[in-house]
Amino acid sequence: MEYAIRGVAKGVDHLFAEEKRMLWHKHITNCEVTLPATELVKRTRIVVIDDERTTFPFDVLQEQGYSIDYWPDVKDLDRLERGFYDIIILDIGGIGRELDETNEGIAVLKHLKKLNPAQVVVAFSGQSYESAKIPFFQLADQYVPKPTSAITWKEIIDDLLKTKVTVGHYWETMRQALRDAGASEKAIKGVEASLVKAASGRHVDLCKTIQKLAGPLENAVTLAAIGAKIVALCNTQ
Amino acid sequence: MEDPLLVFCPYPTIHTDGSLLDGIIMPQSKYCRDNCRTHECLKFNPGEKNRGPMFYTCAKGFSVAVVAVDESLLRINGVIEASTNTAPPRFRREQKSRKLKSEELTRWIRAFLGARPKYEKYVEAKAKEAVHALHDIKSLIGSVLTTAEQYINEQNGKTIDDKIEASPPHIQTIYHSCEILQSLLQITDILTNPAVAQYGTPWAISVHGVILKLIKIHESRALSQNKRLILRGHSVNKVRLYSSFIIIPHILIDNAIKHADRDTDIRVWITDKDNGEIKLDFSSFGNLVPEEEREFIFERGARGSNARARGSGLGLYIAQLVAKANGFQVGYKAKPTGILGNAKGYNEFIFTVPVSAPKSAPKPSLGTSPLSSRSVYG
Repeated sequence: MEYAIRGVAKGVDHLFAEEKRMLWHKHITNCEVTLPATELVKRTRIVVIDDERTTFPFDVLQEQGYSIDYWPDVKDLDRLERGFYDIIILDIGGIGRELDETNEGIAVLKHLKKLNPAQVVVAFSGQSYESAKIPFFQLADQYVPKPTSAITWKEIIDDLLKTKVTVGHYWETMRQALRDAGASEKAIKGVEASLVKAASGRHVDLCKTIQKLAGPLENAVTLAAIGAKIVALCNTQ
Repeated sequence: MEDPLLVFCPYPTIHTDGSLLDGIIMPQSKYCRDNCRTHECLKFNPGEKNRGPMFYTCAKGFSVAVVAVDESLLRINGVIEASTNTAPPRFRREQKSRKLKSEELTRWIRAFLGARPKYEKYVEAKAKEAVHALHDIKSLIGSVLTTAEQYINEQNGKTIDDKIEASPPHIQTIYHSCEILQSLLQITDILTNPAVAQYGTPWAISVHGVILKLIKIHESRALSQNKRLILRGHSVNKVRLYSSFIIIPHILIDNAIKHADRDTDIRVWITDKDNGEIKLDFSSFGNLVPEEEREFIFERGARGSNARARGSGLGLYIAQLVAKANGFQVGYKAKPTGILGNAKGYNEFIFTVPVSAPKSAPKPSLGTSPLSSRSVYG
């Protein structure tokens, strides 16, 4: 099975690479390239942060080709903040106490979403019956109760790969973040053009470009990290 | 703290008599549950917040004190000696030994309201204990499930489904039992916190796949009672639904297994409509829900007067709650066959899953992150 080529690139397989690049020039969302599902699964970096290792089906999913790391606690917040992982599967209790003793996983999720709204986070918890924790579950991109079988996990991860780990989702979030930071529409178009440039194989310093076009933004590094994800999804040939 | 003296009555029948006669306080929820057909009490609202207790006595002599406290109604169970009291003799005997004056009841209620903050703290502490216990149970079931999956993973097969099929029957039984337990735990979550039904994001679910999986899970249980689970029709459509969706067919199949007659078939019909919707029909043969009860079968705590199997009366309530969260409703149809004067026939639960994804709950504001002051990139 292959994921469909989206947008203008759809149906233009017969064109030469240069012609495709010309078509992509307008919008970054047009340059998302198909990847065989197995390849996409292999490339996607997933981390499970849970104090109990036994509740997640690592062996089964790893054998199905998923790259999954396990952290018993938030080992490296910087790595999470920089968007190293495409999908973060986050428990609510027993993790992140060093960062916030009371709110634990909720604090980590809030922090990550505030810093990088494009970061895909799955709330994986057995404490969903606590109404006080409703915000945690509503903030996450997906909710998976404990326990959940490997089959359901596979279906949920595959759905996230189709809907959230995409150029469209990343660019939409990046554009909104730029708008929220006060960037002009012209600056946003400039950032998009530089992404297209990077996607076509040319060297672009995204962080510098964003700051040059949109001004000295506080979250420029995070936006550049989202941009890098977009470029990575386009540069697959 | 002592156990609360007052009993919350789920189904007293009331009428707005407006007065309270001397009587007794006793738990009669079972009597109401088994005999009340109107459930008018659930529609009653005294209207004014914190006005103090208002008393009502029903035609059978059962009384309730209702107090509007903040946003919720406090219903206090009670049997008051009234001229119209038609309570069964066993209740009357008890009435004599547990007499209570109306003034006394009023004092109780006032005292109860005064003690409310303390009572809430007590309940919260107890709930926390239960939460921890439940969490441990979930973790243990998770461990059993993961162990079964590790064993399944060693079998031959390309997909996980193939490997399950290739596994020995006892491993399949353990695996399927864990999945049933998992659904039951999800039901508990939704019961405690209905917002759970809309957690996460609706994702593309193969309804046909879900039903097929549930039939495999429940098959052996049905066969042990000489009931056959049969899936008819086919669906290729995928629709975006919340993860909670699976609870609906789980409850309907489970109910059918519990209540259908032995040596009968339980049929699930699935059909794709031209507009992309998916129609589902769960049909089983047995005692029909009496006509006067049909209106209430999706209400919390409703139990059919002719139900044979034990139950909490929560299943259909949860199924409807989850269905509404997913943007549709479950309907009930009784199809009498003329056997035993229309008491027997096909109980059918029908619903249509819409194409459009249900509306997501609004995302909460991020506010100030407790970690936000931390310098991230230096």
